[in-house]
Amino acid sequence: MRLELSALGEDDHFDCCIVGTGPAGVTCALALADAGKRVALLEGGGEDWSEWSQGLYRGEVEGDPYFDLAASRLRYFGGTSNHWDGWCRTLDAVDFQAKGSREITRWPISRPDLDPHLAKAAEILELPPLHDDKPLAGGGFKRVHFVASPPVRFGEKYRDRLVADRRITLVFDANLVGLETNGAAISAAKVAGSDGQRRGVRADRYVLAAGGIENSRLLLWCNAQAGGQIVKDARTLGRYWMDHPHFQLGEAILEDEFAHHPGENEHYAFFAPTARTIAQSGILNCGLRLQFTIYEESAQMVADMACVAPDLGSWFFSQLGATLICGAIVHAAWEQEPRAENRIELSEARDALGMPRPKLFWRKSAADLHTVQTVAFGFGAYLARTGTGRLRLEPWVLGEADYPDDDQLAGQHQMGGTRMAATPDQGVVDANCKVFGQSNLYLAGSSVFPSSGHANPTLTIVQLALRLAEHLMGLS
Amino acid sequence: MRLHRRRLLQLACWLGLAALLPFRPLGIVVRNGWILREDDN
Repeated sequence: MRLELSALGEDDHFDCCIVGTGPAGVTCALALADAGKRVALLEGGGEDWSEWSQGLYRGEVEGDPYFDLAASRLRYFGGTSNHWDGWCRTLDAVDFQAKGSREITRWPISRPDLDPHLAKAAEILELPPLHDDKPLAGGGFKRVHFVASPPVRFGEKYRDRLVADRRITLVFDANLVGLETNGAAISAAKVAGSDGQRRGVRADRYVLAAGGIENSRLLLWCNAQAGGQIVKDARTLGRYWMDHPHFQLGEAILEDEFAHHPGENEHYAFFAPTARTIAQSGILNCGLRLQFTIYEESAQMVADMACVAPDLGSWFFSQLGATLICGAIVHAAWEQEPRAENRIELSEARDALGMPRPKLFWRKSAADLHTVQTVAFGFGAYLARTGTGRLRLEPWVLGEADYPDDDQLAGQHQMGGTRMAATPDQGVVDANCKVFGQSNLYLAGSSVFPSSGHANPTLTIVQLALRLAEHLMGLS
Repeated sequence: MRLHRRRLLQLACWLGLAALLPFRPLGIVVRNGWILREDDN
């Protein structure tokens, strides 16, 4: 059912209080309600977008060029699912492990811990069948697959179900401004409306599912207010924040039979290094998206190549005319090295509710550049060696220029900040997404990712939310 | 049928190219941003 904040009684008690109505919050709420739990589902924004609510998302950015924090995420019912593109892929098994000597990329769980939740997550996101990756003959790389959600807008899709479910109390304009704790457990979530009224929401358990920046900001602020009694070892809180850098690598001329596979996406092909390549090269994960071009663009690519290899260019022209080759723009989206320096802090500036705005410090590292350069050269060499194509790289990949400022920059996949770890000195939540040192406070969403692989995060977010719900159901 | 014809044409092209290029150890070079085989010319 839906309730106004003013109608929420101080004596109301819930099994679980969930903050946020994006993919993580809604998935967790529905799963708990289906198990008979009473859930308070709090959305800071309204049912629709409003300038006032969205304004609470403003923040500062320092470092590499990045997006306006008030534009890269949405603060109303359904959260950022209201403008996501829908691309989905699971993380690779290697993404849960230490990559080379980098223990920092290790999750305290492994892929088999999330696999049981894949089918349900795919159903929630309305995904077509997922295909297995296929190693390329000749080694080093594999053909990978992304599938597209329609995309599901969680507010639109689940509004009627959430409102109709008597076990769920959905409250809009309910902004988390504090958490009461006795040092070992949360006793209430302090919530404020845009009109200034305040309420305490009491529950057995609390889940923050507010997003990849907001989970850090809320926890930093609540922890500061509570004198550090919520996250007692806060060394990693807000830190190890990540996005997937997204840039155009260059362009490729490809054997048509290599590029297009029957029954697969006719506009794109996706490739990634194998786990062995990642280990041997000391790199992180990296996805390549080849976007096929029209004939005229492909012909221009061949003409460019003919300037450096006239005979090969001439032969490629004959192949292009016979539609035996095609052109493609090659994009890379890759895993960023988890670094403590990339972080969310509380800014001096305050929002309309009197809370500090977030300040994001974000830079790409030398290891980030090394990863994409290694994959680019490796893939180019693979194409040339096997005769399946040729790749031309942009000057920034060749080390002749800086990253371009006018490219996509990043995937707006805001991850980390409250990372999952085996011990409190390494992260904020444990393998069950419970905040270390608190018996009943949990986090959901991409903020718990200790490392990011190269896949878009939403499918993993939903898998993790289902796993969290299952864990909470098993508690008395 | 179209695929069959394309495959044959492709095979013929590769055989033609192979006949023209003397075998040599494969190396990779970068020219003007293009990642090429050493024997691409």
